[in-house]
Amino acid sequence: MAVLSKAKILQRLSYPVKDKRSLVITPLLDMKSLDLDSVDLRLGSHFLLPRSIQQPFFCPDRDSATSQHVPMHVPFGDYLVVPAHQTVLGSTLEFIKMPLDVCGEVLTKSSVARTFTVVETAPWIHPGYRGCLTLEIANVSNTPVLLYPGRSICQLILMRVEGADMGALPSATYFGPVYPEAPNFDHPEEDLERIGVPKEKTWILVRKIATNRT
Amino acid sequence: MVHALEGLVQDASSLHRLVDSVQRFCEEQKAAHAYRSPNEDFLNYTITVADETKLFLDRAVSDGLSFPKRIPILRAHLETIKRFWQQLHRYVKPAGDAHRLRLPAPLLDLATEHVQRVEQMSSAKVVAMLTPYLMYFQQPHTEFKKLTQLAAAAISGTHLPEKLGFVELPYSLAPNFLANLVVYHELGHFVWEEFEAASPPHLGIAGLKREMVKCLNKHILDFPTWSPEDRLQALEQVEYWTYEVFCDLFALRLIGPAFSFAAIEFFNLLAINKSDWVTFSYSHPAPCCRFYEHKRLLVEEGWWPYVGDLKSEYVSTIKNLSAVPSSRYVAGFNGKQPKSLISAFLALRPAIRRLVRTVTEHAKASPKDFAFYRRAVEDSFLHGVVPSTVVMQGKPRTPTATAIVNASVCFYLTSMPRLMHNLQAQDAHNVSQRSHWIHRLESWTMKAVEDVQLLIRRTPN
Repeated sequence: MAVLSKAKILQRLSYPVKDKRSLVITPLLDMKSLDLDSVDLRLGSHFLLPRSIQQPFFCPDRDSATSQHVPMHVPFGDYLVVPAHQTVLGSTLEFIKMPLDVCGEVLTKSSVARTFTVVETAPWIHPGYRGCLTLEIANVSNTPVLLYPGRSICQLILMRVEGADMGALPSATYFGPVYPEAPNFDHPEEDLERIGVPKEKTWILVRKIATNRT
Repeated sequence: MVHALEGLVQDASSLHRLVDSVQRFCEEQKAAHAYRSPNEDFLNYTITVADETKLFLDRAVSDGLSFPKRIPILRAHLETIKRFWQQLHRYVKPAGDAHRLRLPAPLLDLATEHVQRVEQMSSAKVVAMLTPYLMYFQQPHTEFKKLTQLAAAAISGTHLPEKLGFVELPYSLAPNFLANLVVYHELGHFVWEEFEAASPPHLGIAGLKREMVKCLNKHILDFPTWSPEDRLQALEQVEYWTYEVFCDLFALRLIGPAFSFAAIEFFNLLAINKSDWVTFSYSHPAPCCRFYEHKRLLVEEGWWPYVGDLKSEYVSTIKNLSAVPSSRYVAGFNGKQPKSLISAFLALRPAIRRLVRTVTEHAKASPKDFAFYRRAVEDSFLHGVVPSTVVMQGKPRTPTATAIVNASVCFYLTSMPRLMHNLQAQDAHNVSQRSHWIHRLESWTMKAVEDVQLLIRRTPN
């Protein structure tokens, strides 16, 4: 697995979209975003802010996609305040289409990381993925931090996958979002039933509590 | 006099409460949401006018206390201000509801930019509003502007910016992209109203009205002998039909065939009876007549070779409707010599076409751009990619926004099953899955339109 150099990235960007090796990063507003071995990505203007929930816990189930967040739009030129020790979901301004033989990793830009703003905790991007990347942004500092849509926030490292399946059809889950997307879970009892845990066990109780409280 | 003063105080207090409540609504909305700039400016305008009104009310009461003889004059001023607030009240809530998350903001920004290229409209701005009706409206603003001038005698800050229009979208369709292309028609109404309200009125409009009278005289031989009321009604009716065709052609010139397809989509949602397709109502020409004009313009401007062979029911609908001979048009309204009135209107159409061509000379969409970028844009959609950058002959290019919009509509009409076929476990006949991917296509289109604006505005390296 080798990291793609700037020359290789530019080469991939010049393939037509139907070429399985093609990489799309759009809009590329500044060619200086391309570093020797990475691409700087900017913050988009849509966010999902955590909602204050009424139940005493968060149950990762099918309802969590809509119940946990409030969508928000922050126009370019404006900013979002992330209070100390708070989190938001944002997304990259750039829409990415990954080649079928390349995977990627998103890392916080070092200058941003030094403000104790952590941009990604699930940084892996699979071959063939397309969409604006949802960013889990956490302010782990003791002071509020301002986020400006349009400014560079993270960097994308691209790596060649040896022996990639070039005929694979992409999964429809998380395909093509242009705004940050909330998690996509099945109900826990259905998930666990697939590995043999009977539905009647604790999970039903957990779901009942969650349902009653919302 | 004590009674008169008490009456004034009561009147002022009751208006104060109304104004305060509207002002608080605006402040709360602004704090909670992001708006397109015309909506934000309008909410700010309301807040400022509310402050000025409150100042006036305080002043009026203290004037009443000091000069009791002035109380009747002060109450007359209050009446004017009440009428002004009545009208403002009507606009504020729908404008406050229309924040960016509830609107196809990139489409409205694009449409505004297009309107600004129309003759005499370079400072045009449009406040978007949400209506509970499943319909699009342009809210006439001339009367409202007159009210603001009357109110200005008592309170300052009521002056509305020049060329400010108000357009209403159905709240349920507001976040969509494709159906909302219909909004271009409403923008045509806005432009017409501005032309008509200009001082002196736009020459083209004045010329068209003269032509209208000529056509009526030619097709209704005894028209000069009609009573003034009947003549006025006939003129008003032909004028209504003229607005509608003007607005359709205006929309087509600005955004291309995407408007026709959006109009069909919207008419389908309204479930218009087949028999109504040939019927002229009091306010609207028959849809067949309108789509005849659509097709004529699309052919004339060079769009038809690119969209006329799309395998889509919408294209067949346009072909079928436009092929209906004008002899089958019927009148669905009461009035004198309705058939002759329709004939007079039909004879007026060349003048309407000429006027639209003239005023949109610098705002027209280009079929050549569409033809150039269409394939690349549709390929992007097929691969689930936002087409703000497309690669052509190994080079990245930025398509024009109108090419993206039209390619998106063509893709929507013909290629959704192909897109879904490229993905795991998706069934093109599953309605909810299909809706999901239409929504995705719309979001890719909006993102691309937004990106194109950024790419155009960026400082070159």
